[in-house]
Amino acid sequence: MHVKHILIILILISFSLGVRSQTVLLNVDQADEKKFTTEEVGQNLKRFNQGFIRIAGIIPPENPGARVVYGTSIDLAVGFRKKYKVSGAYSLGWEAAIGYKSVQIKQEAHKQVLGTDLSKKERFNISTIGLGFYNRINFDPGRGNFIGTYFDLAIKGEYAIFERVLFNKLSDGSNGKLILSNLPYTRPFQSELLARLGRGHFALIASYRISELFKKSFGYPELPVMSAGFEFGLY
Amino acid sequence: MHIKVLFFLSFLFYSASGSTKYWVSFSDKNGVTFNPYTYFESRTIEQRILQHIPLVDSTDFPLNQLYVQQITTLSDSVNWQSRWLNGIAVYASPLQVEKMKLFSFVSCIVPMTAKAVLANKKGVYNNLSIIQKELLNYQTTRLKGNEFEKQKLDGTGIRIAVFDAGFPGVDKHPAFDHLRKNGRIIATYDFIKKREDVYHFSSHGTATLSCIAGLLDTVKIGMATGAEVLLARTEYAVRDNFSEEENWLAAAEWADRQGVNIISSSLGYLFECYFNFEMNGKTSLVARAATIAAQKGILVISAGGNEGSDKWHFIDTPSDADSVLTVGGTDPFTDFHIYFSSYGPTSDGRLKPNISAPGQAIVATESGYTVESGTSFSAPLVAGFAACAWQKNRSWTNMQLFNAIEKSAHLYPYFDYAHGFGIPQADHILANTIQTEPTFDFVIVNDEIKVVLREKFAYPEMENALGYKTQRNFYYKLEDSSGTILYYKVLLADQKEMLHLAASQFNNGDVLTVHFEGYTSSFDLQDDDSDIK
Repeated sequence: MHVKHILIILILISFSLGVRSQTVLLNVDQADEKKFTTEEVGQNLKRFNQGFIRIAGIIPPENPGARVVYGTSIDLAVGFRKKYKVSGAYSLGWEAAIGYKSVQIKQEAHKQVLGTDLSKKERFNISTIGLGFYNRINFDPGRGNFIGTYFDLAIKGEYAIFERVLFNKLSDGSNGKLILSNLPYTRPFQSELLARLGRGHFALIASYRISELFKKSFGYPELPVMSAGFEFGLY
Repeated sequence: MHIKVLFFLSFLFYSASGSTKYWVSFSDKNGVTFNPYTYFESRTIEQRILQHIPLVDSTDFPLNQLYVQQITTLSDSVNWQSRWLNGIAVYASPLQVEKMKLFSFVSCIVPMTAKAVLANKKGVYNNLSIIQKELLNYQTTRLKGNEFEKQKLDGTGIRIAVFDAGFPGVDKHPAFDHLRKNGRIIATYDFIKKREDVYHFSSHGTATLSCIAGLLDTVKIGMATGAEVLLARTEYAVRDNFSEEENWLAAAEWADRQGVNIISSSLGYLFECYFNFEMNGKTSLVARAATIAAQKGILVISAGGNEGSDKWHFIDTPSDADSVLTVGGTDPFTDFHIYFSSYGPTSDGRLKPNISAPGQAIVATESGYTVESGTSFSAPLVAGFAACAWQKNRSWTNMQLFNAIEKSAHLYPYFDYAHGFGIPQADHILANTIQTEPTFDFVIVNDEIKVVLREKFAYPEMENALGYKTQRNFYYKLEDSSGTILYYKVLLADQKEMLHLAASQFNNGDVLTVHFEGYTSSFDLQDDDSDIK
């Protein structure tokens, strides 16, 4: 196409815009507003959706031979939750999340987990996708349209999509980093119980892993099963 | 061990929310007597006679004190009693509430978990510049307040109660010298602290009062500089505090007792306290209180709210009440809806806001002046306007005044859910008639309906009251055959042919209504006998 033709088309377009276009300062379509009277989605309505971020740390108790470094052993998750209100005091819900656990294993003489070799640092990381179901008891059933104070008990299942072990400064004394993945000794499915005590956007959480992390045939002691921290609701 | 910790934490949370506030309604006022002449100020009695309102009805009678006593004994504490709603606000545990329910005189008990917001957006300016001085002038002249001034109407003889979160500086700020010197601060009461001193806490009330009756040197910040005022602190300043809706109710009864003519309230209760479908003017305690206040002859003026740019962008309560004059905000620089002003209608489809006023204004602070934004300031600007209008027409009832203010607005009879009927105009109130000449025509060409500006009005821009070239706004809406607005728009009037609509895309009975430069006209679409109305 010639440049001349393109120019003619552009001139025609600009001409038509000049004649027809409106500068809209305000445009309110009431069809979009109808949900004001019909919508049942809200913090204390029939349904409520929210995102959340969970930040927790691994906590004792721990097994001999599988001691960890607290503070740097973390349990993180980002997810989405749906709540179904049954009554002012009781709700049910489900949540889906992507999780990431990173446990720093203490390097000491009696270490057994993931082998007895010692490094400067050894870290076991696992990424998961999970689905959970929860019961919620609200302490302020007569509240307005806000979350209020609540206690949740949840059970969730997780599937490991990626696991690896990182070693810093190897047992032979050489500097370097060794990363092992596709670990043969981890079980892909995990399950845990979770308790949550919250008010509004914030909640304290504690979780308890009820499944074993390692296959029995490898004989590794289990890493700590509990974590505690907080959640922040995104809404 | 860890489970025990969780249960302990759970107990702590539960304990923290154990004593809840409840509203306890009584079924009757049996055995109670009432003398209006000893209870009311003479102004209240005069107002009721003037407006042909019964001097006394059951809502004026006090509560049965035997009932109050029994509920008080069962409660942790009692906050306020209400004659109007025949009930009391109490703090009690669920167990205590169960016991209260056994009394035959208790008709219902509902928990109160409201949160309030102050209907303002924080200003960003500290000192008055030339443009800000222009804004000061604009905030009254946009309502043609100068027309009231010409007739020496300044709200003299009108008593206005201001409900807010504190009034620091009002006892010494020069903006209120004229009120103090002439003894026109009639009464003050802090309904939270239960004392007369209101000159502390949030300066939000100082700012709203200035928009009613303040002066900056000799320039009016609000129009009613001659009015009497009553100051009621009914709210905390902090957004997240649990609020005291019943304080608003108690303040309204207090105001009524003292013969108040107008209540100006820039407090809103919204989604944190009520569900969306409850914003119907009948559910919230404050909406019910405002409705009774209107029944007592008081004009209640309330800020529509500042949620316009939020997901939940609807009118707050008590602005959802039918007889409350709800005020939305306009942008002084564009003269149409300011982005944060909440939208109507109410959840049951009634028109709100009723009118609009500048949503940005010069206001008095605790020790100076600043620019503030919010419908908090639109409402008191209208309260000052209403006082002047009522001074001029003292025989009007509150609802006649309400209707007159709506009819005086610059878009009337056009309305939409962003502007209501637009900005009240003093010259329209004073003239009592509005003369307009057609500014546009509907032109039909085959299937197309055009709206064409008349030659005289087809120019791109004009100078606004702030001295700036500004656009002119073209308003139109489409309603279905039942009168429900389907959509509404504001366009920049920057061309002669403003609208080109294909008639075939509309349903039978749809009505297109257009407003431009004071003139409103409607067109029945898809009607065989269609004609300009």
